[in-house]
Amino acid sequence: MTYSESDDEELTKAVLDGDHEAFAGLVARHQRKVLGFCLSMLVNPQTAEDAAQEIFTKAFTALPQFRGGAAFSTWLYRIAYNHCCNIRAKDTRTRQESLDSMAESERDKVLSAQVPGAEPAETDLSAMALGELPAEYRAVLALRLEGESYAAIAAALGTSVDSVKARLRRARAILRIRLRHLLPEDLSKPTEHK
Amino acid sequence: MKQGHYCSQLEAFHDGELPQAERPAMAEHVKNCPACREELAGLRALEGILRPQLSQADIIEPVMSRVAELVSARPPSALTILAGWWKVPALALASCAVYALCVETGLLPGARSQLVSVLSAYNSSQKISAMLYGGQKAGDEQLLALLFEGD
Repeated sequence: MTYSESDDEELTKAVLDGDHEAFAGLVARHQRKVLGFCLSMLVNPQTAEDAAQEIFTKAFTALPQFRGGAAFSTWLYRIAYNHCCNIRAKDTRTRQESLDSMAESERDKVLSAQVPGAEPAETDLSAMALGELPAEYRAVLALRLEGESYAAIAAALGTSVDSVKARLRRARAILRIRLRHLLPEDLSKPTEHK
Repeated sequence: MKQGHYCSQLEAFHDGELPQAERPAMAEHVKNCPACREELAGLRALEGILRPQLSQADIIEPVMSRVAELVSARPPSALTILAGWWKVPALALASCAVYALCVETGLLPGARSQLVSVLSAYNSSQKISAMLYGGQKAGDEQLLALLFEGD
């Protein structure tokens, strides 16, 4: 039996029984989704990759507390969401502290800085727009982009399915306005039904 | 079913959350409703833009090296310690066997010869004590003389 053929339950049990190498199977099965989620949450690819590694390390440490009541992926996404929120909060604090320590003229220069002649790429714009959403909207959308169901998203974020639907609708409406330049003209606004 | 119902279920249809039984009717509605068609196209276009562009990053190796570090830094659990309980009696038995072998081959003095030497040492000390504190016999004077000479 190879790790790719085993399911999450078998692999989790093997790791808890002392076969630490079985954890590689869990990483292989979930790394793409966790990386995608981190990238949607954190925007920067390098930060996202580091975060994904830290999330799996945390999951390994916390595995004895995984009761198996929920799917392993749901439990993993919960760790990922908390970790990404912590990174963003830390990043915001650091940025604010460094801006506070600057002289006013220097701060204005940094805030209005633009590289001359450099137009942001389409992917940068969409990532920036996604990154500006509140964390709970961004997380719902990020999990939806990874193909998770409403129920799985609700379980991972500890909220209700109705709340997931509402956040998803709101996040999409905001992004369709912010990214209108990237969408075909007639698709850039949510359609109003008569 | 009313048209308004279909329109309100469009996001659920797009997300694959609509019950299987309702999907054909919904698909049929989308075909005939320009507003829903447009809305659905908008949702698909937005998803296409937002989908993260992942590089072929493989994080198994760095994660597993972190895991190896964690495992090596962990103190052994009580279960691991108990798992080696048999080592204590095995070590004791092995020590006894080595001792017996050494005695048999003459590398170490046997119990009998040790008893003899202990008894003779005891007798000597008894004699010296008797000589010093009284009750000495004729032959003991020689031993006392040897003791004072420092031999």
